[in-house]
Amino acid sequence: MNARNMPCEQAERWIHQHVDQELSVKQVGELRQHLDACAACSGLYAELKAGKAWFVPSEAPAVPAGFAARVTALAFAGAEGTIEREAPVLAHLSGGGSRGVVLGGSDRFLKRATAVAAGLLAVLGLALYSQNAVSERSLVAEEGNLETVLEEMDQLNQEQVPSETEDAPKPEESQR
Amino acid sequence: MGVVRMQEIERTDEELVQETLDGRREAFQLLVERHQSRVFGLVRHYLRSGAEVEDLVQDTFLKAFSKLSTFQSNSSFYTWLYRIAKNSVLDHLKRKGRSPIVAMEDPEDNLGGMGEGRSTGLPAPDAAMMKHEISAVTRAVLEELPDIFRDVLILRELEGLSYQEIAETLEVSIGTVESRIFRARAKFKDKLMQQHPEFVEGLS
Ligand SMILES: [Zn+2]
Repeated sequence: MNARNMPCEQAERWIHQHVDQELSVKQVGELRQHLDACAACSGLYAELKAGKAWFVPSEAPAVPAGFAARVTALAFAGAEGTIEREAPVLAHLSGGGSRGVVLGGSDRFLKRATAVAAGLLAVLGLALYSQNAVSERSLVAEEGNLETVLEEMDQLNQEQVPSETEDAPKPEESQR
Repeated sequence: MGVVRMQEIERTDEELVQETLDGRREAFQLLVERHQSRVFGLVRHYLRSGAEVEDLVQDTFLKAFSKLSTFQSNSSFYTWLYRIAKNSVLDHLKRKGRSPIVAMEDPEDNLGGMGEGRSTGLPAPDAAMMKHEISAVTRAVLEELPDIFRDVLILRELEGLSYQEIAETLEVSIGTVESRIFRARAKFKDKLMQQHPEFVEGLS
Protein backbone atom coordinates (compact mmCIF):
# COMPACT_ATOMS: atom_id res chain seq x y z
CA MET A 1 0.00 0.00 0.00
CA ASN A 2 2.62 2.45 -0.98
CA ALA A 3 2.80 4.90 -3.82
CA ARG A 4 6.52 4.41 -3.88
CA ASN A 5 6.02 0.87 -5.11
CA MET A 6 5.18 2.41 -8.41
CA PRO A 7 6.90 5.51 -9.68
CA CYS A 8 4.58 8.26 -10.91
CA GLU A 9 6.04 7.89 -14.37
CA GLN A 10 4.79 4.36 -14.62
CA ALA A 11 1.48 5.25 -13.01
CA GLU A 12 0.98 7.95 -15.59
CA ARG A 13 1.45 5.50 -18.38
CA TRP A 14 -0.85 3.02 -16.80
CA ILE A 15 -3.50 5.65 -16.27
CA HIS A 16 -3.71 6.20 -20.01
CA GLN A 17 -3.85 2.47 -20.54
CA HIS A 18 -6.46 2.15 -17.85
CA VAL A 19 -8.85 4.67 -19.40
CA ASP A 20 -8.38 2.74 -22.63
CA GLN A 21 -9.17 -0.57 -20.93
CA GLU A 22 -5.77 -1.94 -21.73
CA LEU A 23 -4.77 -3.02 -18.22
CA SER A 24 -5.24 -6.42 -16.70
CA VAL A 25 -7.28 -6.74 -13.52
CA LYS A 26 -4.09 -7.26 -11.57
CA GLN A 27 -2.52 -4.13 -13.01
CA VAL A 28 -5.64 -2.12 -12.25
CA GLY A 29 -5.30 -3.23 -8.63
CA GLU A 30 -1.70 -2.07 -8.47
CA LEU A 31 -2.56 1.22 -10.10
CA ARG A 32 -5.39 1.78 -7.65
CA GLN A 33 -2.97 1.51 -4.79
CA HIS A 34 -0.83 4.20 -6.32
CA LEU A 35 -3.81 6.43 -7.02
CA ASP A 36 -5.03 6.14 -3.45
CA ALA A 37 -1.71 7.41 -2.24
CA CYS A 38 -0.87 9.99 -4.90
CA ALA A 39 -3.00 13.09 -5.38
CA ALA A 40 -1.28 14.18 -8.58
CA CYS A 41 -1.87 10.89 -10.34
CA SER A 42 -5.42 10.49 -9.14
CA GLY A 43 -6.14 14.00 -10.41
CA LEU A 44 -4.76 13.05 -13.80
CA TYR A 45 -6.82 9.91 -13.82
CA ALA A 46 -10.03 11.80 -13.01
CA GLU A 47 -9.38 14.31 -15.75
CA LEU A 48 -8.52 11.80 -18.41
CA LYS A 49 -11.64 9.90 -17.63
CA ALA A 50 -13.75 13.04 -17.79
CA GLY A 51 -12.05 14.09 -21.00
CA LYS A 52 -13.34 10.97 -22.69
CA ALA A 53 -16.64 12.81 -22.96
CA TRP A 54 -15.20 14.80 -25.86
CA PHE A 55 -15.28 11.68 -27.94
CA VAL A 56 -18.79 10.69 -28.71
CA PRO A 57 -18.50 7.29 -30.34
CA SER A 58 -19.86 7.18 -33.83
CA GLU A 59 -23.39 6.01 -34.05
CA ALA A 60 -23.87 3.24 -36.54
CA PRO A 61 -23.65 5.34 -39.66
CA ALA A 62 -26.42 5.20 -42.19
CA VAL A 63 -25.45 3.17 -45.20
CA PRO A 64 -27.35 4.04 -48.34
CA ALA A 65 -29.86 1.37 -49.32
CA GLY A 66 -28.56 -1.16 -51.79
CA PHE A 67 -24.98 -0.01 -51.39
CA ALA A 68 -23.42 -3.47 -51.10
CA ALA A 69 -25.30 -4.75 -54.13
CA ARG A 70 -24.25 -1.75 -56.19
CA VAL A 71 -20.61 -2.04 -55.24
CA THR A 72 -20.66 -5.75 -55.94
CA ALA A 73 -22.18 -5.22 -59.36
CA LEU A 74 -19.57 -2.61 -60.18
CA ALA A 75 -16.74 -4.72 -58.86
CA PHE A 76 -17.68 -7.74 -60.91
CA ALA A 77 -18.46 -5.64 -63.92
CA GLY A 78 -14.96 -4.26 -63.72
CA ALA A 79 -13.28 -7.58 -63.09
CA GLU A 80 -14.82 -9.40 -66.00
CA GLY A 81 -14.16 -6.56 -68.33
CA THR A 82 -10.46 -6.19 -67.53
CA ILE A 83 -9.95 -3.32 -65.22
CA GLU A 84 -7.21 -1.02 -66.32
CA ARG A 85 -6.07 -0.03 -62.92
CA GLU A 86 -4.93 3.44 -63.06
CA ALA A 87 -6.52 4.57 -59.86
CA PRO A 88 -10.22 4.64 -60.52
CA VAL A 89 -11.43 8.13 -61.14
CA LEU A 90 -14.49 8.88 -59.18
CA ALA A 91 -17.15 10.43 -61.28
CA HIS A 92 -18.04 12.66 -58.41
CA LEU A 93 -14.51 13.91 -57.92
CA SER A 94 -13.99 14.80 -61.54
CA GLY A 95 -17.00 17.02 -61.38
CA GLY A 96 -19.51 14.72 -63.00
CA GLY A 97 -22.81 14.39 -61.28
CA SER A 98 -23.49 10.74 -61.87
CA ARG A 99 -23.35 8.68 -58.75
CA GLY A 100 -22.22 5.15 -58.46
CA VAL A 101 -20.32 4.68 -61.68
CA VAL A 102 -16.60 4.30 -61.72
CA LEU A 103 -14.92 5.65 -64.78
CA GLY A 104 -11.36 5.25 -65.78
CA GLY A 105 -11.12 1.67 -66.89
CA SER A 106 -10.73 0.28 -70.35
CA ASP A 107 -13.36 0.62 -72.98
CA ARG A 108 -14.67 -2.80 -72.14
CA PHE A 109 -14.86 -1.99 -68.50
CA LEU A 110 -16.68 1.17 -69.37
CA LYS A 111 -19.19 -0.82 -71.34
CA ARG A 112 -19.68 -3.16 -68.45
CA ALA A 113 -20.08 -0.26 -66.11
CA THR A 114 -22.51 1.22 -68.52
CA ALA A 115 -24.38 -2.04 -68.57
CA VAL A 116 -24.66 -1.94 -64.82
CA ALA A 117 -25.76 1.63 -64.86
CA ALA A 118 -28.27 0.75 -67.49
CA GLY A 119 -29.60 -1.92 -65.25
CA LEU A 120 -29.91 0.49 -62.42
CA LEU A 121 -31.44 3.19 -64.48
CA ALA A 122 -33.60 0.65 -66.23
CA VAL A 123 -35.23 1.85 -69.37
CA LEU A 124 -33.58 5.21 -69.67
CA GLY A 125 -30.08 3.88 -69.27
CA LEU A 126 -30.80 1.08 -71.66
CA ALA A 127 -32.11 3.36 -74.32
CA LEU A 128 -28.95 5.40 -74.28
CA TYR A 129 -26.77 2.37 -74.20
CA SER A 130 -28.40 0.54 -77.01
CA GLN A 131 -28.16 3.55 -79.23
CA ASN A 132 -24.46 3.20 -79.55
CA ALA A 133 -22.59 0.11 -78.56
CA VAL A 134 -25.23 -2.53 -78.76
CA SER A 135 -27.81 -1.35 -81.18
CA GLU A 136 -27.05 -4.24 -83.50
CA ARG A 137 -28.14 -6.62 -80.81
CA SER A 138 -31.63 -5.31 -81.27
CA LEU A 139 -32.32 -4.95 -77.63
CA VAL A 140 -35.52 -3.08 -77.50
CA ALA A 141 -35.87 -0.88 -74.54
CA GLU A 142 -39.63 -0.88 -74.62
CA GLU A 143 -39.75 -4.57 -73.89
CA GLY A 144 -38.35 -3.55 -70.62
CA ASN A 145 -37.91 -6.89 -68.88
CA LEU A 146 -34.98 -5.89 -66.78
CA GLU A 147 -33.74 -9.35 -65.99
CA THR A 148 -33.71 -10.52 -69.55
CA VAL A 149 -32.00 -7.38 -70.57
CA LEU A 150 -29.34 -7.73 -67.94
CA GLU A 151 -28.75 -11.32 -68.91
CA GLU A 152 -28.32 -10.36 -72.50
CA MET A 153 -26.00 -7.60 -71.51
CA ASP A 154 -23.99 -10.09 -69.61
CA GLN A 155 -23.73 -12.41 -72.52
CA LEU A 156 -22.85 -9.58 -74.76
CA ASN A 157 -20.05 -8.51 -72.55
CA GLN A 158 -18.73 -11.97 -72.23
CA GLU A 159 -18.63 -12.28 -75.97
CA GLN A 160 -16.60 -9.15 -76.05
CA VAL A 161 -14.01 -10.65 -73.76
CA PRO A 162 -13.65 -14.20 -75.02
CA SER A 163 -10.35 -14.84 -73.31
CA GLU A 164 -11.81 -14.34 -69.89
CA THR A 165 -15.28 -15.73 -70.07
CA GLU A 166 -14.63 -18.92 -68.21
CA ASP A 167 -12.12 -17.72 -65.72
CA ALA A 168 -13.22 -16.71 -62.34
CA PRO A 169 -12.85 -12.99 -62.06
CA LYS A 170 -9.57 -12.96 -60.27
CA PRO A 171 -9.20 -9.31 -59.55
CA GLU A 172 -6.21 -7.64 -61.03
CA GLU A 173 -4.61 -10.66 -62.59
CA SER A 174 -3.53 -10.27 -66.16
CA GLN A 175 -2.78 -6.65 -65.61
CA ARG A 176 0.67 -5.40 -66.46
CA MET B 1 -30.00 -9.88 -55.67
CA GLY B 2 -28.01 -11.83 -53.13
CA VAL B 3 -30.21 -13.13 -50.40
CA VAL B 4 -28.09 -13.77 -47.35
CA ARG B 5 -28.72 -17.19 -45.96
CA MET B 6 -28.18 -17.90 -42.31
CA GLN B 7 -25.25 -20.25 -42.68
CA GLU B 8 -23.44 -17.65 -44.74
CA ILE B 9 -23.18 -15.49 -41.69
CA GLU B 10 -20.96 -18.11 -40.13
CA ARG B 11 -18.33 -17.91 -42.81
CA THR B 12 -15.18 -16.06 -41.91
CA ASP B 13 -13.90 -13.07 -43.82
CA GLU B 14 -11.04 -15.19 -45.08
CA GLU B 15 -13.43 -17.73 -46.52
CA LEU B 16 -15.46 -15.02 -48.15
CA VAL B 17 -12.32 -13.54 -49.67
CA GLN B 18 -11.41 -16.91 -51.11
CA GLU B 19 -14.89 -17.42 -52.49
CA THR B 20 -14.84 -13.99 -54.04
CA LEU B 21 -11.58 -14.86 -55.72
CA ASP B 22 -13.30 -17.97 -57.02
CA GLY B 23 -15.81 -15.71 -58.66
CA ARG B 24 -18.69 -15.88 -56.22
CA ARG B 25 -20.44 -12.59 -56.34
CA GLU B 26 -22.55 -13.05 -53.23
CA ALA B 27 -19.45 -13.75 -51.17
CA PHE B 28 -18.15 -10.32 -52.01
CA GLN B 29 -21.48 -8.71 -51.38
CA LEU B 30 -21.51 -10.33 -47.97
CA LEU B 31 -18.07 -8.93 -47.23
CA VAL B 32 -19.25 -5.48 -48.19
CA GLU B 33 -22.36 -5.83 -46.06
CA ARG B 34 -20.28 -6.90 -43.11
CA HIS B 35 -17.89 -4.00 -43.24
CA GLN B 36 -19.71 -1.17 -44.97
CA SER B 37 -20.96 0.40 -41.78
CA ARG B 38 -17.53 0.67 -40.23
CA VAL B 39 -15.96 1.98 -43.40
CA PHE B 40 -18.68 4.59 -43.75
CA GLY B 41 -18.10 5.58 -40.16
CA LEU B 42 -14.39 5.80 -40.65
CA VAL B 43 -14.49 7.86 -43.82
CA ARG B 44 -17.02 10.18 -42.23
CA HIS B 45 -14.48 11.13 -39.63
CA TYR B 46 -12.36 12.63 -42.37
CA LEU B 47 -14.81 14.12 -44.85
CA ARG B 48 -17.79 16.34 -44.47
CA SER B 49 -19.91 15.88 -47.54
CA GLY B 50 -22.12 12.82 -47.69
CA ALA B 51 -21.62 12.47 -51.43
CA GLU B 52 -17.84 12.49 -51.03
CA VAL B 53 -18.13 9.90 -48.32
CA GLU B 54 -20.19 7.50 -50.37
CA ASP B 55 -17.89 7.81 -53.36
CA LEU B 56 -14.87 7.15 -51.24
CA VAL B 57 -16.38 4.15 -49.51
CA GLN B 58 -17.33 2.76 -52.88
CA ASP B 59 -13.88 3.42 -54.19
CA THR B 60 -12.44 1.68 -51.15
CA PHE B 61 -14.38 -1.50 -51.77
CA LEU B 62 -13.60 -1.48 -55.47
CA LYS B 63 -9.92 -1.10 -54.74
CA ALA B 64 -10.15 -3.84 -52.17
CA PHE B 65 -11.79 -6.05 -54.75
CA SER B 66 -9.11 -5.41 -57.30
CA LYS B 67 -6.37 -6.12 -54.77
CA LEU B 68 -8.10 -8.98 -53.06
CA SER B 69 -5.57 -11.57 -54.14
CA THR B 70 -2.93 -9.65 -52.19
CA PHE B 71 -4.85 -9.86 -48.93
CA GLN B 72 -2.90 -11.83 -46.33
CA SER B 73 -5.03 -13.38 -43.69
CA ASN B 74 -2.44 -12.71 -41.00
CA SER B 75 -4.05 -9.33 -40.57
CA SER B 76 -7.76 -8.90 -40.18
CA PHE B 77 -9.80 -8.01 -43.21
CA TYR B 78 -11.02 -4.85 -41.56
CA THR B 79 -7.56 -3.49 -40.82
CA TRP B 80 -6.58 -4.24 -44.39
CA LEU B 81 -9.68 -2.42 -45.56
CA TYR B 82 -8.91 0.46 -43.24
CA ARG B 83 -5.58 1.03 -44.91
CA ILE B 84 -7.19 1.16 -48.32
CA ALA B 85 -9.86 3.54 -47.05
CA LYS B 86 -7.29 5.76 -45.42
CA ASN B 87 -5.23 5.94 -48.60
CA SER B 88 -8.33 6.80 -50.58
CA VAL B 89 -9.09 9.60 -48.16
CA LEU B 90 -5.56 10.94 -48.36
CA ASP B 91 -5.50 10.80 -52.16
CA HIS B 92 -8.81 12.54 -52.25
CA LEU B 93 -7.72 15.31 -49.91
CA LYS B 94 -4.54 15.77 -51.89
CA ARG B 95 -6.44 16.06 -55.14
CA LYS B 96 -8.64 18.68 -53.61
CA GLY B 97 -5.64 20.57 -52.36
CA ARG B 98 -6.50 19.98 -48.75
CA SER B 99 -3.30 18.28 -47.86
CA PRO B 100 -3.37 16.59 -44.50
CA ILE B 101 -1.30 18.05 -41.75
CA VAL B 102 1.85 16.04 -41.38
CA ALA B 103 3.70 15.93 -38.12
CA MET B 104 6.94 17.81 -38.35
CA GLU B 105 8.81 16.28 -35.49
CA ASP B 106 9.88 12.69 -35.41
CA PRO B 107 6.82 10.99 -34.06
CA GLU B 108 8.63 7.90 -32.85
CA ASP B 109 10.90 9.52 -30.33
CA ASN B 110 9.99 9.04 -26.70
CA LEU B 111 8.79 5.61 -27.58
CA GLY B 112 6.27 4.49 -25.07
CA GLY B 113 6.87 7.56 -22.98
CA MET B 114 4.88 10.68 -22.41
CA GLY B 115 6.99 12.93 -24.52
CA GLU B 116 7.29 16.36 -23.09
CA GLY B 117 7.15 15.98 -19.36
CA ARG B 118 4.23 15.09 -17.24
CA SER B 119 1.01 14.58 -19.17
CA THR B 120 -2.03 16.55 -18.29
CA GLY B 121 -5.58 15.41 -18.37
CA LEU B 122 -8.32 16.64 -20.58
CA PRO B 123 -11.03 18.68 -18.88
CA ALA B 124 -14.57 17.61 -19.60
CA PRO B 125 -16.78 19.46 -22.07
CA ASP B 126 -18.99 22.15 -20.59
CA ALA B 127 -22.01 20.46 -19.06
CA ALA B 128 -24.40 22.60 -21.09
CA MET B 129 -23.16 21.23 -24.38
CA MET B 130 -25.28 18.91 -26.46
CA LYS B 131 -23.79 15.75 -27.88
CA HIS B 132 -23.74 17.01 -31.42
CA GLU B 133 -22.07 20.22 -30.31
CA ILE B 134 -19.38 18.25 -28.57
CA SER B 135 -18.93 16.17 -31.69
CA ALA B 136 -18.57 19.25 -33.84
CA VAL B 137 -15.93 20.81 -31.61
CA THR B 138 -14.03 17.54 -31.35
CA ARG B 139 -14.09 17.14 -35.07
CA ALA B 140 -12.81 20.65 -35.64
CA VAL B 141 -9.98 20.08 -33.20
CA LEU B 142 -9.10 16.71 -34.72
CA GLU B 143 -8.86 18.33 -38.12
CA GLU B 144 -6.14 20.59 -36.81
CA LEU B 145 -4.00 17.76 -35.53
CA PRO B 146 -1.16 16.18 -37.46
CA ASP B 147 -2.58 13.04 -38.95
CA ILE B 148 -0.50 10.58 -36.93
CA PHE B 149 -2.21 11.93 -33.84
CA ARG B 150 -5.61 12.33 -35.39
CA ASP B 151 -5.57 8.75 -36.66
CA VAL B 152 -4.92 7.18 -33.28
CA LEU B 153 -7.56 9.29 -31.59
CA ILE B 154 -10.14 8.39 -34.21
CA LEU B 155 -9.33 4.71 -34.01
CA ARG B 156 -9.13 4.61 -30.23
CA GLU B 157 -11.79 7.04 -29.09
CA LEU B 158 -14.30 7.01 -31.90
CA GLU B 159 -13.88 3.56 -33.41
CA GLY B 160 -13.11 1.84 -30.13
CA LEU B 161 -10.16 -0.20 -31.37
CA SER B 162 -7.72 -1.75 -28.92
CA TYR B 163 -4.01 -0.81 -28.97
CA GLN B 164 -3.30 -4.13 -30.63
CA GLU B 165 -5.85 -3.50 -33.36
CA ILE B 166 -4.58 0.02 -33.92
CA ALA B 167 -1.04 -1.29 -34.19
CA GLU B 168 -2.13 -3.76 -36.85
CA THR B 169 -4.14 -1.19 -38.68
CA LEU B 170 -1.41 1.41 -38.79
CA GLU B 171 1.37 -1.16 -39.12
CA VAL B 172 3.33 0.18 -36.20
CA SER B 173 4.34 -1.32 -32.86
CA ILE B 174 2.12 -1.23 -29.81
CA GLY B 175 4.70 0.99 -28.12
CA THR B 176 4.33 3.48 -30.92
CA VAL B 177 0.55 3.35 -30.64
CA GLU B 178 0.77 4.04 -26.94
CA SER B 179 3.20 6.87 -27.34
CA ARG B 180 1.09 8.45 -30.06
CA ILE B 181 -2.10 8.19 -28.03
CA PHE B 182 -0.52 9.81 -25.00
CA ARG B 183 0.88 12.61 -27.04
CA ALA B 184 -2.24 12.95 -29.15
CA ARG B 185 -4.23 13.60 -25.98
CA ALA B 186 -1.87 16.38 -25.02
CA LYS B 187 -2.04 17.91 -28.49
CA PHE B 188 -5.79 17.61 -28.50
CA LYS B 189 -5.99 19.45 -25.24
CA ASP B 190 -3.67 22.22 -26.44
CA LYS B 191 -5.69 22.82 -29.58
CA LEU B 192 -8.92 22.66 -27.68
CA MET B 193 -7.76 25.27 -25.21
CA GLN B 194 -6.53 27.50 -28.02
CA GLN B 195 -9.61 27.22 -30.19
CA HIS B 196 -12.48 26.67 -27.85
CA PRO B 197 -11.65 27.56 -24.27
CA GLU B 198 -15.28 28.59 -23.85
CA PHE B 199 -16.43 25.00 -24.13
CA VAL B 200 -14.12 23.60 -21.52
CA GLU B 201 -15.70 22.82 -18.22
CA GLY B 202 -14.74 25.23 -15.50
CA LEU B 203 -12.99 27.72 -17.75
CA SER B 204 -15.88 29.91 -18.81
ZN1 LIG C 1 1.76 9.48 -8.73
